[in-house]
Amino acid sequence: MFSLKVNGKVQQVDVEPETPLLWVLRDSIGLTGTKFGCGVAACGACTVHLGGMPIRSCIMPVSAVGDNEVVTIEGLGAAQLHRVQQAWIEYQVPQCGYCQSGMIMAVAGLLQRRPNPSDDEINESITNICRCGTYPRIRNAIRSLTGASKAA
Amino acid sequence: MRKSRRRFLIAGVLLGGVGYFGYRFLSKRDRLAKPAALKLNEREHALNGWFKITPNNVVTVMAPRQEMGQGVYTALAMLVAEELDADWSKVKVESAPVDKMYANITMLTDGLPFDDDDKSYAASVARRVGYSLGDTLGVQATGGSTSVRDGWEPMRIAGASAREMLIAAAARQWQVPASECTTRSGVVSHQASSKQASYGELAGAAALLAPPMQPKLKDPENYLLLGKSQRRLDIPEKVTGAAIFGIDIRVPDMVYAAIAQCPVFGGTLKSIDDAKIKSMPGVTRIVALPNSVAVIADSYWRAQTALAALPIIWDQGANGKLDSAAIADQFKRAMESDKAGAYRN
Repeated sequence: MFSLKVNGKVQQVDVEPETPLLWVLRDSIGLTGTKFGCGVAACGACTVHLGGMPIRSCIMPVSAVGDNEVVTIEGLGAAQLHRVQQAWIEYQVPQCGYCQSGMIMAVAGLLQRRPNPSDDEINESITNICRCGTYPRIRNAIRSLTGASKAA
Repeated sequence: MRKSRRRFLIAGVLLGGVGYFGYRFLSKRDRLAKPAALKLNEREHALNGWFKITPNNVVTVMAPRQEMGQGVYTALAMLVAEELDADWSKVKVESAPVDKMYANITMLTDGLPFDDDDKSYAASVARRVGYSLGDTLGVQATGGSTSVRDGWEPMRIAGASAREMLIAAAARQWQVPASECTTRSGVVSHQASSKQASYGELAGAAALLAPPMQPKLKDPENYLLLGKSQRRLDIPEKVTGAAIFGIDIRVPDMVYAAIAQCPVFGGTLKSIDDAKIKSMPGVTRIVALPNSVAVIADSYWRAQTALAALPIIWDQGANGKLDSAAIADQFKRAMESDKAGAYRN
């Protein structure tokens, strides 16, 4: 039995210690906003915040979470939409939307550490994969939040 | 699926269908009904099966096609909202229930083994039979760039028909000629008497009227929404994690299967040692199939973990030793033979 702090709420889950946080969130707790993509930390669809840092939850064993606060896409804008979510609407970023929960969590995490990331820093930090190819809109949405000018 | 193969399959279905259902003439389908599957709460009214409306003027369009990022929820809602003269800021969209009236007929007629520009008698008969069969079968599918083409007529007619019902309800209430009433952004107005009422207020009375089957459609010059880029209606819930994808569906007592398939086309399952994983946590069943094996458990992770631990031996069959060079060689020989062909898609 593990006790987790998720989106400000304590949750008890009865799973094997090596169970990835992703499946605990989705199947044990019922927070399906976090998505399963590749299962090997390559695509970023499963990104959540752990202790304030974006992590790929598909390879994070539940036993390693400890007391660190978990924030998912459902928790990010629970009170009011996070500014990254607002920018995603403003710039009409999602297409199919499957990768965007992870994408938004990764970007929110980046902007918390680096309020004005350069293009290189964005490229290095946001390695999430979007099969629809929404990258140009993602970049413009990020730039709108950092004060950098929008690409033509 | 390759179009040639799809055409072949659909042509087969059509021939079978003619035998089963007989030939019947293309008739205007009753697509203005309210299907029993359309569930309304006590505040909602339906004037036909294509949208619901609440007293505070929120119009929820029933989209019979799946939103996959192609923007079809927004496009289909625009079709209804344009002819309805709805307040676009209060238009929502939901997945339609399953009913024959939502069938995708264009998908079936598209699959006919005739080119679009084929005007022959055979092609026109086949199209009519295809239409009729599409109606009878009621295939509610999404694909082949058919959603807007298929929705174009019935969803605009649904909006226009409902608009005429709302005007009729207002005219009756105000004792004025319907021809003097106008609509705009979810409101019916009668200028001479300075009367106006929202669609939401009129919907209850309008829902009791018979829907006009051939309402007047707008001249495209007067379109307010169609042909103009609109913000996507599906985006807000895609940024909060609320959007439900196939993987997010939960039903009572749901179990999860993890599947391994023979890594080689044409190969088969030789043997598994299921004793090794039978007692693993949550595992309920192990299903051996001719060319694959499924492990069923009470969670996806448990099913996948058990599958990974299952010893599986495949018989890779004739393709087991096939490599890229051999495949390239097959193509080369095919191209050089006189049997090389081309297909249009």
